[in-house]
Amino acid sequence: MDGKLEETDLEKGISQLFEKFKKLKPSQKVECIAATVLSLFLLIIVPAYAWFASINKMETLTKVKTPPALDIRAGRHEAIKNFELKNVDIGEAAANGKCYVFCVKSGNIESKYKIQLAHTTNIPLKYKLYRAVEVSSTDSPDVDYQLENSDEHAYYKKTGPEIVMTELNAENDTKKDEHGRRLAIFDKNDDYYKRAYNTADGTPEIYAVAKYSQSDSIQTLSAEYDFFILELGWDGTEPDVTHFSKWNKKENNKETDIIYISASKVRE
Amino acid sequence: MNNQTNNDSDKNLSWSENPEDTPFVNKEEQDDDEKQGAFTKLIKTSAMVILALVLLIFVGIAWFTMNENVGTNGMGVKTVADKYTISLPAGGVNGKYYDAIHSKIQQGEEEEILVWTVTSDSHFNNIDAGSGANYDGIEPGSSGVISFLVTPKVDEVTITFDFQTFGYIVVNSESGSSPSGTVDYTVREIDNNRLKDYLNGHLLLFENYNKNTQKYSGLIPANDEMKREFTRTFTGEGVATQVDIYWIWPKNLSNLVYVEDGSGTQPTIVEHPEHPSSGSEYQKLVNHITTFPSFFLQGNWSSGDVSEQMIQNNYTTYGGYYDGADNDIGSGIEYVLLRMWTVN
Repeated sequence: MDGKLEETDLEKGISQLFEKFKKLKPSQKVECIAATVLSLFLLIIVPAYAWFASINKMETLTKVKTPPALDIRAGRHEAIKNFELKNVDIGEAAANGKCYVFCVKSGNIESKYKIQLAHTTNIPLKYKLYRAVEVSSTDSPDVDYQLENSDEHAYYKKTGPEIVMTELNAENDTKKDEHGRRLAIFDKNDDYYKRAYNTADGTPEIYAVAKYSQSDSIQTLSAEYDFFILELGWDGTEPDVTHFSKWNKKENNKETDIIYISASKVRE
Repeated sequence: MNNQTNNDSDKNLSWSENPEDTPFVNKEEQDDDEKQGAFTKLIKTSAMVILALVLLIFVGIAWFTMNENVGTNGMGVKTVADKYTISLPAGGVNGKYYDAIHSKIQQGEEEEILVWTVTSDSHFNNIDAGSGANYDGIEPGSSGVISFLVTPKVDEVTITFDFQTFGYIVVNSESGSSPSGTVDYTVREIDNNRLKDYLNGHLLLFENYNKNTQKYSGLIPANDEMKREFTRTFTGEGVATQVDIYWIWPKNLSNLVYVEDGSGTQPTIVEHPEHPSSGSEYQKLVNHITTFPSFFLQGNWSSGDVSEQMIQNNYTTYGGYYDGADNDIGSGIEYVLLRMWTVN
């Protein structure tokens, strides 16, 4: 047409599109419109519907803190089965005390724990607990610990004073025999436990009567392992020689004791 | 033979040169074909139009219910239905463990679940609140409050809220063992039913907490489908009401069941009246424990196996079962997810 400005390519393209559209049959026109509308709706619908369907749930996540782990091990933090109260020479124990090393790992330098000893008293030994550190063989160690499956030795020495242990079942302490061993108490009348433990002549047997002692809270010193020495000795309040030699007769030389060492976390 | 004429009215006559052709084409077939064609096209276009109409309806509904921003990071005002809006306290963040852990869990979820963002006043021990108030997870004794806001769009609306806890562990995606360092890992839900039970009993949710007496009330107990539910009515169109959910991991069984022993009693988290009546908060908690002892204690328990009296008479034993379950949770579950949704 005269006077009309040059059409841009876009305008040409659009007008061409419209021309093509006009040439379609009516049914095709409807199809074309419907398809276009459908595509447009899909573009809007998909995000809207997804949002619409999932709106009413919400959630938050937190962490469960790791529980503190208490571990008891032998010297050089080897497996606990290597902790052996072996070669107890009673004479040596009576004279100098016989020492054994074990360690406790609490895993948290800020935490505290308590150690409990539970032991029978068939051999009237006294048990004492001390903190310990590893030293060299020339540093007059208290414990010579041989590592498992090896010729190597580790040496430990007591540090600090004896750890105070409080008896938990002290009322049984009143019934002792002349050696200081605990006697079984049956009832409040202080009758001995006659039925199971008496010998034929009426003297009470005393097996498996345990004494429970517990330390106060012990502060974790090391992020790795805290070492302790368990010292087996004789009662120092009695004149040692008399007391020990009274007991040290051959009929007493086959006694057996059981000792448990346990540690538990102190909850703040 | 040339029979051409210039008369245009003859144009419509179809004379054929070929004598074998019939003068008339079979008009009925032609009509049927046309009808077929037209009919199919009608079906096609009708179907398209109906589809378009359905989509139009969906868009309409979506538009009507969407009138706020959709977003995370505390901007979230989430429309849930036509009668109310649930939103989160302002200024919330995704939580400390979102990037490393929670986002991975969300990737694995079939539906989109919003992040319950947390603030220094409303959290699940998963926020760095600054100035010494950094929280790094939960343990026995942990407690806190986490909140959301409900704004009714009508004068009064009653809403039912459901909660569920899930436990997760982090594993090395190849070997299935716990990863270390920068090894590629996946976050997997625990499959141990015992641990799932413990989460129900050791992580308790309450509707109310009295700051003066330091006692909880309004226990939201879990049922045997692991869901906890409570219903509340909200009034005031357009008024935002804050809903506080008090969560606690009681340290000992004696914090739940009233126990008198020589070493002194632990305070119960729910008020223990001298003679608890059957409707009291304390009794509700005890009933929950005796109905679901496996939620609280190690061991194989069924409803009714454990009574309050048994716990009180043998506290060392049952308290030990509770503590043992605590330890199992700590060893077997690394992350806990708390999910909330509305039912109506």
